[in-house]
Amino acid sequence: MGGITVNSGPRVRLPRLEGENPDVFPGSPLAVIGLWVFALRERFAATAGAPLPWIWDADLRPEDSEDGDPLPDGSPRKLLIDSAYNVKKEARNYRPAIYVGRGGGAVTPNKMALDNSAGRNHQLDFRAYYCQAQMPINMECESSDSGESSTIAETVWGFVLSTRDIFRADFGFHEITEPAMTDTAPSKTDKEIWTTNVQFGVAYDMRWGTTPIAPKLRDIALRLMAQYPDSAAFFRDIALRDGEE
Amino acid sequence: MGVPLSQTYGKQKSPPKTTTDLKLEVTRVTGIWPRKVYVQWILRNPTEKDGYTFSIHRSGSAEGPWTELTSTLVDTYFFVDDGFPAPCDLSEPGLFSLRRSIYYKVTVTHVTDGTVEVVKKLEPGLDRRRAGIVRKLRRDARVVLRKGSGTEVAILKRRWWGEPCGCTTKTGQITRSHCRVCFGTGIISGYWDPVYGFATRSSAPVDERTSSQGNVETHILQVKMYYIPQVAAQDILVFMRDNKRYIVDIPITTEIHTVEVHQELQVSELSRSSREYNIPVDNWRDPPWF
Repeated sequence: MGGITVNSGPRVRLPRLEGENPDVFPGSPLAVIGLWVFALRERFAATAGAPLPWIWDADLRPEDSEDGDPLPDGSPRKLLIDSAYNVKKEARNYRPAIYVGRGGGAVTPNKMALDNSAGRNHQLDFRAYYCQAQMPINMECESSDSGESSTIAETVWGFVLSTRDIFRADFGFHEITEPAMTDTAPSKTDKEIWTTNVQFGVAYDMRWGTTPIAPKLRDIALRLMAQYPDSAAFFRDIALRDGEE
Repeated sequence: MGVPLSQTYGKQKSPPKTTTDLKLEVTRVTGIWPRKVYVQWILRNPTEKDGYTFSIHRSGSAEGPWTELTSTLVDTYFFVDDGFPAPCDLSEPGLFSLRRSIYYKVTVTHVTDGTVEVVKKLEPGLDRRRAGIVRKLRRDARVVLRKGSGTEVAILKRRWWGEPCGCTTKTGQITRSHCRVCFGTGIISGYWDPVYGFATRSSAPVDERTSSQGNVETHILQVKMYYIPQVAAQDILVFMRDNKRYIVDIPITTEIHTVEVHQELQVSELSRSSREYNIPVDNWRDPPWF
């Protein structure tokens, strides 16, 4: 993806931004939402290829001209792009804005094989599993006017649609569904605002393994029993460090 | 004295003369829904029998700007405004809306009596006795607000008709809500000229709740103000002393004999990043208020 860093190499393309907090594991909702937040910020950046009437800027205060007057009509409007339910920000009731979240949807694993089983190491009784997790993504495009909300949503919708393959290749997604754009609907906060949602889903691989502890403990016990004829000899050996050189 | 229980408020005896200057009195501005508005007026103390030329202007606010409807009425004492086509866009006004308030400015010109003008809004007429009661109540409300509890406000009445702004689509929707030409209304200049007055607002806590937008703040207040201008939902109130701006949610008028005495409004404080803060309001009026 242009502008945002990716994990490199054929086996490490994971759905997580490079430099992301290590507590956020690849494919977690925070990681996936973070991908599109940063991608949208790049799309709406002032340096993006196709200029738009809205630009993303970390500082949302309106720009003034040199003499302190508002900028002339036609100047781009700063756009807030953030993850949904982020309360750690100073901006309040800012519009226009795009909020990326899950839209109330759940992350659901889909079974791909019987018992999700992918393989087994009989000697260690290590079992490998595999499935695909599906996560809905919802982008709320909010504005004071229905027309602007719809126009921003169309830009977002087109961006998601046209970059699906790139995202899939760069971040190891199994699938990114075609985005759907909902109707533009009003709601009320300090004033009437209009929201158009862009919704799609992502599917990514999940792999995990289990190693039972009991076989390992049994293996240790057998080794000890073979080495020491009784338990007193074992503890004496530990206390006197007889075994150490 | 007028007839106390007269139902025909246009037919009354002349009031006692308090001046010999020419006076123009609009006696009736009646809606003939939803097509026309009937405007009727009389002259007090004319020095001649004829030779009076009247011009009629219309606006959505008592402060204008005004649109001239006619200027060729000679010795005619009524006018039927039928310029309400109610099209499917915002280019012309209509009489379909329940919140439509329309103001008329009638101007009379005479070679010897000079020029006199009067502004009247679309509202029911009253006989003299009831008009006197209303006048007293309105005066009391004005005095309370002006000298007592009120502070200076500017009322920005939203335009609901006019020349479309370039930021609108063919279907009339606004693609740039922060347009500095229409302020998100879709009509050039967005709001009528500010009307300055006095109002008082209640205190209420700022409500903060968490939603997908993060922390969202709402601040709902009650405002009491004079009956002019009659405000409607989505009009803007600017409290001049702190420059806080409010959008009108629910206007409730106190009425007697079907005419307004004062207004009580539920308003919502606008977000500080709202486009309404770009609307110019003269905070340094002449003479200055404070």
